[in-house]
Amino acid sequence: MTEESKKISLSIGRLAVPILLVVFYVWYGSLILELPQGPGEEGPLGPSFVPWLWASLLIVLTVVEIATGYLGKAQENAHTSIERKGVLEALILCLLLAGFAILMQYVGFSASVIAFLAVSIWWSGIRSWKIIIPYVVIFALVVNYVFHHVLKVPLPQDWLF
Amino acid sequence: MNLLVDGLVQALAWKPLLFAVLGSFMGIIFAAIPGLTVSMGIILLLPFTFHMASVTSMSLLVGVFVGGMTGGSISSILLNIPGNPAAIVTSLDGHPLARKGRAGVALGVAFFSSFLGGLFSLICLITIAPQLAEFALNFGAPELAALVLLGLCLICGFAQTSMSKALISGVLGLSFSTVGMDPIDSIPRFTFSVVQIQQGVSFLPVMIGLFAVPEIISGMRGSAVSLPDFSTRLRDLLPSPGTLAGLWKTLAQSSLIGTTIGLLPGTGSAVAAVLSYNTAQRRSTDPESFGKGKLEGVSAPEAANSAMTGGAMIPMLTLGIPGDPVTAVMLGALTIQGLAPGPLLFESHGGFVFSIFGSFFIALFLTIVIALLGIRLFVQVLRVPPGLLFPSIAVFCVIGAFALQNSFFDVFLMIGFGLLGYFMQKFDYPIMPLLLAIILGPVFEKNARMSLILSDGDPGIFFRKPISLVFLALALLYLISVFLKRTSLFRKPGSA
Amino acid sequence: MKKFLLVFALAFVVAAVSAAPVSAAYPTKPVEMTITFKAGGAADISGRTVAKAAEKVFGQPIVAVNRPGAGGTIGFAYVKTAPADGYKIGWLSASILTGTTMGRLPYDYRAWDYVSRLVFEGTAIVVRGDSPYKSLPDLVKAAKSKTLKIGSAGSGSFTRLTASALSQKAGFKFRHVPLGKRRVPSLLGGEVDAISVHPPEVLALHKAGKVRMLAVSFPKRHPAYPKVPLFSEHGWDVGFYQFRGLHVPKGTPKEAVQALHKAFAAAAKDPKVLATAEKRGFLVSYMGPDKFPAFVAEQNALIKKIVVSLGLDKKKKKK
Repeated sequence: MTEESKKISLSIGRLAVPILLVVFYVWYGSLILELPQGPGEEGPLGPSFVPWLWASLLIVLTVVEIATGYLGKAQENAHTSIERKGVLEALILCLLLAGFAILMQYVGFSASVIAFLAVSIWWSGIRSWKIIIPYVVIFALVVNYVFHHVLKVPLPQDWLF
Repeated sequence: MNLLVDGLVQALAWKPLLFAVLGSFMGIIFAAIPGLTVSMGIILLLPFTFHMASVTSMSLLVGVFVGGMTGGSISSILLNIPGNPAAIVTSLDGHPLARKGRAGVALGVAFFSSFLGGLFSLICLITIAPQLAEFALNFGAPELAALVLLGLCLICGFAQTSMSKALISGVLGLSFSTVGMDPIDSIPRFTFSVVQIQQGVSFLPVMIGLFAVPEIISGMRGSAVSLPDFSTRLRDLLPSPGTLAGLWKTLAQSSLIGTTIGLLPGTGSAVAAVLSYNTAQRRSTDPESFGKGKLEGVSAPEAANSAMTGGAMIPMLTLGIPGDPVTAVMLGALTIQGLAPGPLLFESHGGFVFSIFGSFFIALFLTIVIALLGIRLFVQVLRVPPGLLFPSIAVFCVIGAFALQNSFFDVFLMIGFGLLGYFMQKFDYPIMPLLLAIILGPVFEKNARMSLILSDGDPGIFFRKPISLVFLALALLYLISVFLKRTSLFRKPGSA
Repeated sequence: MKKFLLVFALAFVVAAVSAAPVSAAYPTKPVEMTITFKAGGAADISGRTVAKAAEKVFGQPIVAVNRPGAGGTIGFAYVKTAPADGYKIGWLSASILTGTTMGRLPYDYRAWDYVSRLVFEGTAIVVRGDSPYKSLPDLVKAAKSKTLKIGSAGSGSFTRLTASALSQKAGFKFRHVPLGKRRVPSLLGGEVDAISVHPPEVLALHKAGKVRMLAVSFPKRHPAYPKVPLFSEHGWDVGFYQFRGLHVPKGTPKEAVQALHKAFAAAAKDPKVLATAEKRGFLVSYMGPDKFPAFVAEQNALIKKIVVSLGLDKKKKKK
């Protein structure tokens, strides 16, 4: 990366989060407007008072953040851009977790644990099935036994155990 | 004194003792595994106690409570994932210590601090419980609102590179905390007509997501920093008596803070830990070294969260008012045994009350013995290949988020906040303020608005009550001191 | 490689197959009973005790599962959307009526089928032990000359509705304070003049003289606090009581409802249940599927009336 492009990515990085915050603020504010305004049923402060308080604080702080971002105070060594690889990894893990939670509701606990663990262990770089398969099966059996049969957590049950 | 001995003897009968061992052990395990929490352990064990004798069931529950407050430090220190809300600040100094190869010392200090904090609160419980319970009744809505406001101001203390980033993180948490049923008027806010959102953003799934998911992400792809090798001989792991003696001031003030916070319903162990960490930092001669692996930074929150246990049991036993979610479950367990906690419990079932004290005492001892014996085993976790360790932790996180309220909604909440936590860390926004704000936001809103109902709209209520005035003054002083320190930092040559 | 993984992860999400087994004779497997409040609370204790007793006749385990949150609405919504096969049942309370009339749930009380009522719980007006009010008429008299602060569990809670209904019957006005979980400490600390609360929460304090239960809204005097008069004895019967019972998703087969009815009717006579009821201060009063739906409808009308008179039903309408 050249010196020039690095600088550009830095300024984009500095702005990206404040812009997101402003978007969040506008959205949050528009939602507060849908609430009853003014005094509440029970007391002098209604349900929209405290959300307004936080929203105003948020906008003040965002302005401060943008200002300090441009004045360049204490920002020189801050991360203002992140690698695409890291983002992709985070997204994949969260998708895997969400898939695990969804799958569990359909095929049950142990089957989904086996699927999730096998995929994620393989993904983390352990490629030997001789390690993955015994570990995954034993783990699923033990955890299912402890949580479902001993502690009676109502985890979705399946056709496996 | 005789009663105390009788209580100990009752608690030492083989069955209560067996369940105390089981309880302490399970408490440590539940707290130590990221994703599983003490609250969850207690909820899961409660149905079993319905069929037990009263002394036995309390041995089990007290064991889990005490063991849990100690065990939470294990994953905080070793993996940088707090095992409990009570241990969120333990990782700030505990994990840097582990990275320096001093995991054993950090764990040892954490365990001893927990033990001493718990012992302090137990002594308070035995000697001055009724007086403390009376004292706690002075904390009405304005006092709690002011106390929580002070807690929120401490968010500034978690600033790393930039104060505005820490504050933005905190205020973001505060705005998330307004989601769900309005605490005063019971109007659904920001729910998009989805029934599940009415319960709001429950902080346990959020905590699991914010702290565990980013660590899992970096751990699974091997980008976690490998730790230096260290000796696992018990002698090298334990802190020296000299080290512990040097911590006495921290231990004393943290135990006091922990017990006091425990007395107040609706605050909780995380607040106790944060307040005492901050106090230790401010009163230290070397506040700059906090967050880089200072033993006081491990000792303070651990002493406070254990001291909270005894504190929380005081209003529960003397007035029948639970001080936190765990004692609320204990109260249920006691009433199903036909023992209604209250002022008369000490008179009508004095022997039983002292058997609870006995169980508490035994649980403290068992916990530290189990923890110290286990220390060699715990540190082995660091040798498990991350490719196996982190996916397994992910499974526990999903189970943990689900089992608290048997809700898949909470699992998705955890995942969502996990992603948020990851990006916040990448952009240097600290996550501690966000979690703290989610815990404290609703308590503040509720008590602040309630105060104005009680005073018919007169805001003077916050200043007329002496306790609330003191907290507000402390908050203001703290903010001024932070501001002065920051501006002098900016003036340093070369920083702009 | 990365793309492949992303696709794989997506496929993993999408991969979802459902297969619901169809049962012949009911019950062939354990039944799950949703309790809409937290472990260890009043609803949890009565629910679990009753379920345990019902298992003997029922022949299959009845597994109690807590799905707490938002005043019971989370659990009620769960039962509403569960499959109507008789294997998902719910432990309901009168909160289902407050929740639906106030618009917290997007449907009314007819969205479920009602099996049986098991217990009643009282609602008491409580003052501090050193309070000048010795009886409910004392309090009412004082409330007519000045505005008293009376606390409850929350804005739309059952305890609040009871206090408001009392004030309408007796003809006084009060400042309501939605105290939530801090209701008892707040009373003891002197922040409010009185609270409306379920008796088990203050029974121990009442016996110790720290608080005084002035009167209780209940069908009859309870053996755990026999000296406390009823609202109706003062002529201010509010007509609705906190009740708990069993409901199932709409359209659950008749055989399942009958089997549940048989098991829970037996549980209502179980000595263990009766003993717990006496200790915990609730009242066992069984009503089967023939009369219970009508009872719910009648209670709903009463609760709706008070909710409308307080203007609590309009809140959600804005959206």
